[in-house]
Amino acid sequence: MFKSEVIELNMGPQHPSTHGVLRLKLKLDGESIVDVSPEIGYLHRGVEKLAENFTYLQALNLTDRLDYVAAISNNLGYIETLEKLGEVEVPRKAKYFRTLMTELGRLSSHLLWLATHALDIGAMTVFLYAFREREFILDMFEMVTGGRLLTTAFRYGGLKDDIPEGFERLVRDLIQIFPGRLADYEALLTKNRIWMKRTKQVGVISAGEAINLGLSGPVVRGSGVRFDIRKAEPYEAYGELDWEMAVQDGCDTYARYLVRLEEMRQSLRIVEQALDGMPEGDFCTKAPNVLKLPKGEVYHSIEAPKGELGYYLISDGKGTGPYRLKVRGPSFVNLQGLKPMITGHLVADVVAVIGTLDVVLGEVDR
Amino acid sequence: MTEEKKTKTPEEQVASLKEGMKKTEPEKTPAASKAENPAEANPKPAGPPKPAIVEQEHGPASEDWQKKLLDALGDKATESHVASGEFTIVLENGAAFPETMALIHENGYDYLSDISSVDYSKYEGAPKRFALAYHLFSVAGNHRLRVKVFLEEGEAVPSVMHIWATADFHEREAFDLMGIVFTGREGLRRILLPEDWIGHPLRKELSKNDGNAAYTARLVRKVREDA
Repeated sequence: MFKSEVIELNMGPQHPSTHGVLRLKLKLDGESIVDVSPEIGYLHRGVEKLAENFTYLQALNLTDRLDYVAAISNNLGYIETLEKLGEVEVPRKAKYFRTLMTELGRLSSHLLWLATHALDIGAMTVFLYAFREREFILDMFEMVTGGRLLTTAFRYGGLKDDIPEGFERLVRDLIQIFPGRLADYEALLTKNRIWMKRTKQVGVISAGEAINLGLSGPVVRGSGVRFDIRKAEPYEAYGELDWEMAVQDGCDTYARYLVRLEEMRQSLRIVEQALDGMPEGDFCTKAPNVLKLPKGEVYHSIEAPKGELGYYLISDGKGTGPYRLKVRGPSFVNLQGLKPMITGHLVADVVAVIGTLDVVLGEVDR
Repeated sequence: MTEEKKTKTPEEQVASLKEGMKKTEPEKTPAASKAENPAEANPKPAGPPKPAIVEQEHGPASEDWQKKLLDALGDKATESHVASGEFTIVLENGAAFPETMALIHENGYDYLSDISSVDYSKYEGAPKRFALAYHLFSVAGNHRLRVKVFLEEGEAVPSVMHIWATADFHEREAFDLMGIVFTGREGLRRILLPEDWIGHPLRKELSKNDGNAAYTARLVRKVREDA
């Protein structure tokens, strides 16, 4: 009586909820999804090849353009990779300030995620609220680095400049107002029946599957896996500060929402402690004008807002730039979670699952 | 995968790409070649002696978890060292490679962070042309491990996708950008570049513009033919 047929549907690359230029080939049986294959590469700029033609410092500019909503984290990961191979010790003041800045970056990245994720699902108000707070943080970035999105922050051996005057007051203001704002978002969403219906039991992935798929960041912590590089291999000042890893056992979109909200709260704790305990002294060690690194290889990874951001750097000891720079972008790997999360669900849930994965296409395509 | 891919080896593809490049370049006039000659005749005066290359320090495996893994692997690991606090082991490519990787997985390395491909053709002291670096992590044990496999030109390597599902995108990327072929898996096709791209841009013999010009030229030709 009824004919059932699997049809193919292209979602993207210009779909507004794909957060960039992600194209999904969906195979549909009625409205439920049988199969999905992400087609990526629309934003491929060849960052890894370009880096081989640049000096170490020039390549820092390329890292801004990976995950462009959390450029601070990309900068930090790259600079730390250089420092690991060069075996240079960074002053404590720089460590604290870097920690502070990356946590502000995490806040701004999670705010953007919350804004767009809520907008995709239909909560318009949160979008406007979250962008208001994000502006506040971007103003701080502008004050310190001169750039709001492409920050090119930090240098080999420390910071580019000392902490600007008036910066502390801005951060204190943020610490003052932010918990109240966070409570506002929660009031709008956490117990909202529509929000719960759209996110609970959507995009479920088990802990074992998540690890096997290499998922990282809030995505894997939403499945109850206690894996956070800030705790596992503390870098900068994270080992000295008091904060907790956000973990939820729900394995679904709602659990990952709770994880990110908790992370924002913890980030604020870290920011406050880093500001209170900011040491006096130098902000940069004496670094050579033209950087040359020993012949060898290192892999260094940090906990970016999206997950494990790793750099694999090979130096041939002769040149002043990388021989090979491989970027392990968390979004690129997390995107593999899309297929197991969405198969069997409805088309409308694709939007929720893309939002919960929090992919940035600049980092997926590199 | 396109027909072209099946019939052509990577070397042939690169050769055809280079040929395509030559055609697009304007032929050099005699005047231009004359201008180049005097520069060759007068070599630059010898500068100050080049500083010796500083090497990263390599040490033997010292910690218990490193020794435990080496014991479990036996003679399968041909080399191991610790440099900058990172533990690296080198494995031989071959039919036994997936089994060895499965053994490493059983030893607790359940998280595959990354697979990086490297072209060592302009690097001094590498045993073979290509290498793959598998960056593994043990979530429970909190250890990191790098497994390296060196490959000759055109040598295929068995896939590890059945052990770590995350290897799918990484292997496709290594195939796409470096032209390393993985056997024993499905769906090995380009991931970042267009399907009809020729060559593998991360190889050292290609400049950052090489594939781009050829691809654009073909696109333009196609548009003209269609018009």
